[in-house]
Formats: sequence, C-alpha cells, structure tokens
Amino acid sequence: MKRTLILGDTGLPKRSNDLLEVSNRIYDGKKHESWLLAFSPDQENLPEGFERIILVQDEGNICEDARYICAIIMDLHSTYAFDAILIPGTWIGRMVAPRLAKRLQVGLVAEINDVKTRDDALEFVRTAYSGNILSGIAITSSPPIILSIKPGIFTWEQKSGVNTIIQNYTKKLQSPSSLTCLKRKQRSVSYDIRDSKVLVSGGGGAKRAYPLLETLAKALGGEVSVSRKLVDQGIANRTIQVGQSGKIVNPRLYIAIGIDGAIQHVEGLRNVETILSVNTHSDAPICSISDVVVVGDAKIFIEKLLQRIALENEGTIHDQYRGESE
Amino acid sequence: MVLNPDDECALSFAFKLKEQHPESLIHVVSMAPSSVVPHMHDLLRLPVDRGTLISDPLFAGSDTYATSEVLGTYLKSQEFDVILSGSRSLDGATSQIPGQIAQMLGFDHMLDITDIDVGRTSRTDAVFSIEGEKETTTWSMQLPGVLSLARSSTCKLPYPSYADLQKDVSDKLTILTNKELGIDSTHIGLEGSLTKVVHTYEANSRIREKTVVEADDEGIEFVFSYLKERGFV
Repeated sequence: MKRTLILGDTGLPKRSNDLLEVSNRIYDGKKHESWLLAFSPDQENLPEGFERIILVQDEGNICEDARYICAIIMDLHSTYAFDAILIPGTWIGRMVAPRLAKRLQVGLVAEINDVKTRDDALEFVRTAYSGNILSGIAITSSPPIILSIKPGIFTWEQKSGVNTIIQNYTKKLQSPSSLTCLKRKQRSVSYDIRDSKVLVSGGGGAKRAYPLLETLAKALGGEVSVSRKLVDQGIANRTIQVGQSGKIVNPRLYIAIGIDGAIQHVEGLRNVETILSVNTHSDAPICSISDVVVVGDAKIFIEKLLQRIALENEGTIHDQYRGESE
Repeated sequence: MVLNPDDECALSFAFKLKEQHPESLIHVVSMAPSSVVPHMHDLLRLPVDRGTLISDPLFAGSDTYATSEVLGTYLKSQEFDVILSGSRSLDGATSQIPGQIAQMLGFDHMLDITDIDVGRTSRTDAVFSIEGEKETTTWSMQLPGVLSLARSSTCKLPYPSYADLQKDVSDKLTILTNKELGIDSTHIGLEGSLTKVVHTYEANSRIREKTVVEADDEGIEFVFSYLKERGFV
C-alpha cells in the first residue's frame, strides 16, 4: 500500500491534516496510508485522520532546525520507504523541502496549489511569472514524490474515523546544525501588509469608521491597510498604504471599505485572491474587480458583520486555529 | 531587466559587512544567459570586487535541481566566508536554490532574514534576525553558511559615482561555461532536470463572478457565509 509522510505544521499543528487532501488527490482516493511527523509536545493537540503519528519530543528548537528535521525524515524513510513526502510551505518547510529533495536526489515542486491527473500522469500546479501564469509540473525522478504545499489552499474533511497509532521517536540524532536562537521578541504593532493573509482596508469613505477597521481585522485574523486618502489626511501611517505609492499586497482576502479604487490603488491588488468591497456607490471602480460588492454605509456594514461574527462565536467552542492566519 | 529586490537586500548587506570589515571581498555570482552582462557591469561599478557569470546554452531549461547542481559545483571550487542570497526569486519564487546549495556544501542555511547584525558578525559567526508573523527572532550561525535575505524597504543600493558610470569594468567579470565547470551533461539543462513543465494555464484572476448585496441583514448573512465557507471566520 502507498504510504505518505506529512511534515506537521508547527505553527498550526491541528491543521496539518489539510495536507491529507493532497495525499488523497495524489492517490486519487485509492486506499493509502498517511503518516504525520509531529513536534507537538502535548498529545491532545494532534490532528485527526492519520494512520500513524510519529511524535518527536522537541526539547530544543528541533522544529526550527531544517537540517535536524531532514535527518529525522531520512532516518524514517530508510526504514519505512515513503512513496510521497509532503511539506507545508511554511518558513521552516521552505527550508526543509529543498534540502530533502537534494539529499534524496529527486525533483521538487514547491508551493503547489493544485494536483491534477492528465493522461494517467500526475501534474502539480503552481504559480509562475509573478502569479500571472499557472504551470502544471510533472516530476520525472523516481519516488518518493516530494512537494511543498502552499498554506491555506487545501482543506481536508473527515469522512470516516481512522485509528491513529502514536509512535514516539526516541532516537537522539546529533543535529549537524550550528544554529542557536539568541532572542525571541513578540511583535506588537509592527506588521507588514505585504505579508498579510487578510486585509481590512479603509479609504475616504471609511474615515468615520476607521477605529472599527482594526476590530474587524482582528475578528478575521488579519490586519488593517488603507488607501492614500487616509494617509494624506493624516489618519493612517504610510507604512500600511496599498497601491502604487504604497505597497503591493497579496492577501487571500481584501476587504475594501469606502475605497473608490483609483487605478493607482488597484495596481497594488493584482495578486489578491478574493476582493470584497463596501461602497455607497455600486459603480465605483473597485466594484468591477470585486468578487462581492456590498452597497451601503461602511460603519453600518462593519458593526453588523461584527455582530454576526460574535453570534457565531457565542456558545460554540471557538477553535482558535480557525481564527489565525496561516 | 531588474535586480530582484531580495537580491538587492543581499548585496546591500554585503556592502554593510564590507564597511565593517574593509578587508573583505565581494564576489557576485550569477547563472544566466549572456544578455545579463551589462547588468553585471552595473553591479561591478558598485563596491563589488569581482563578478562571475555562469552561462552556457547547455544549461538552458535547467530546473531548480539542475540549477543548484551548476551553482553548487562552482561554489565548491571557491573560498568564501558567507554566501548571501535572496529568499525568493521574482518569477517562480520557489526558494529552492539557496537551500539546495547549502545542502550540497554541507552548510547551514536560513531563509527570510530581515537584518544582519554586522557588528556582531565575524568570519566565523553570523548574527541576524528574522521578522516572523508573530515574533522577531535573533539567531547565531557558524560560518561558512548561506544567509537568504527577504526584501525590505531599508535595503537600497548606492548609486555608482558619476565618474564610475562609464568605467570599463569588464576585467572584473569572468564568464564561465560548462567547459570550465566540467559537469556531466546528463546533470544539467533539460536532461538534468527532475521536474518538467508540461502545461501552462493563464491565471486570469480578474474575471470574476460578482455578487452585489446591500448592507442589510440579508446582505450581511451572505457576506458572513461567504467568509465562513472560505475559512476566514
């Protein structure tokens, strides 16, 4: 039976099972086993859906040590011979995957966002040329298939229960790495809108509602950005301005509140996945590039949406992983 | 043709390190078609000591695996204290080459570095920090190693002086082909690649099915469900 190893997402351990969907797509729903390599210290935080979870007790910075992780995967692979190894496209994953592919002398398709089958051959899809083109890529080397997966694209839904065997990885490998973490500092106010996965963005029409933008951004696990108008009026700092004289952003979700959508602003939105705009005029330029247009007042929209989100969270156990951006 | 902003950051940190350690030499290495020679000349008019352009039609079609094979083979023959690179290229942005080179050379590698503490960086150790989503971490790493920089607005390259604009810098540039590198031809170009683009699709994301709603209860319910389906709430 085919066997896939998935490297756990250390930032969002519970969401590691989203990569099960990639494994399902590779084996076209046929029976196969999926194993997880996890660094979670507590067993309650482990995701469902895996036949086996190999648990590494992380006493130091193993989960941030690409060479150590590679060494563990190589050790496991020599015993269990995986047919596919799937790595999340996170900061650490993006360091592990290329090393591993080089060690195993196999091809690597990085940060895929789709799996297709064409003439019985697998094709892994990723964006190319700054996101303007999608490439379908075949791997010509022999197995294992190594892929890194763009976070937040695939979602897994449990269909039937799986009995998970938890296996502790007790071998103490000597990490070849010389990396030492000297200091950790929580980031407070500083964020870079170019890294944001969700942006709640305000323009001239959101002046009155400006303090509420942050509340909505928080509720959606995102950050606040603005159009030039709010910067020129001294309401917001230029560091969070979107557009030609500001920053080019590529969040998954961009909520444009009270923004007209001048060409210079739209220029900063070329790579945005979903645009939702709120405007008193349904013929504002921003509306023509939006997936959803809400016609109405900015403040009323934000207050009503916040109430609806609060209602959803009431009485349900809020899954904190859902709320975080990946 | 533009210099990738990530690479620009790498080069600007090289200049900062040279300011701190004036005896150090900066060597720019690129694998590209010979059409980039004028761009290499532009870099060599800055405080760059030497340039190497690895260029051969035999390398055409190399995927990241074959590309790192070429660059890694060349770098194995060189002496240096640190390799600085960008974190992501401008086109594919796969971040594969620096990690694969580090693997080939047996070095440590760190991605998405936002700052190098040049004052605390010596020939044997580098100190640098990474601004993550939730925290800023500061690291030390033994050298030689590979440090990959992420773009930041503070990384700006100096302009060459007016006198240097017309300067002939061609003697600082070495152009190498596979004749000098001597890599087995089955390991380079299309033949040495382990991945192959078999299809391309247009990512025309701006043609969208637009839904228009009012900011009333019905409209808010639609927006809420829309966001929930996509995992935002």
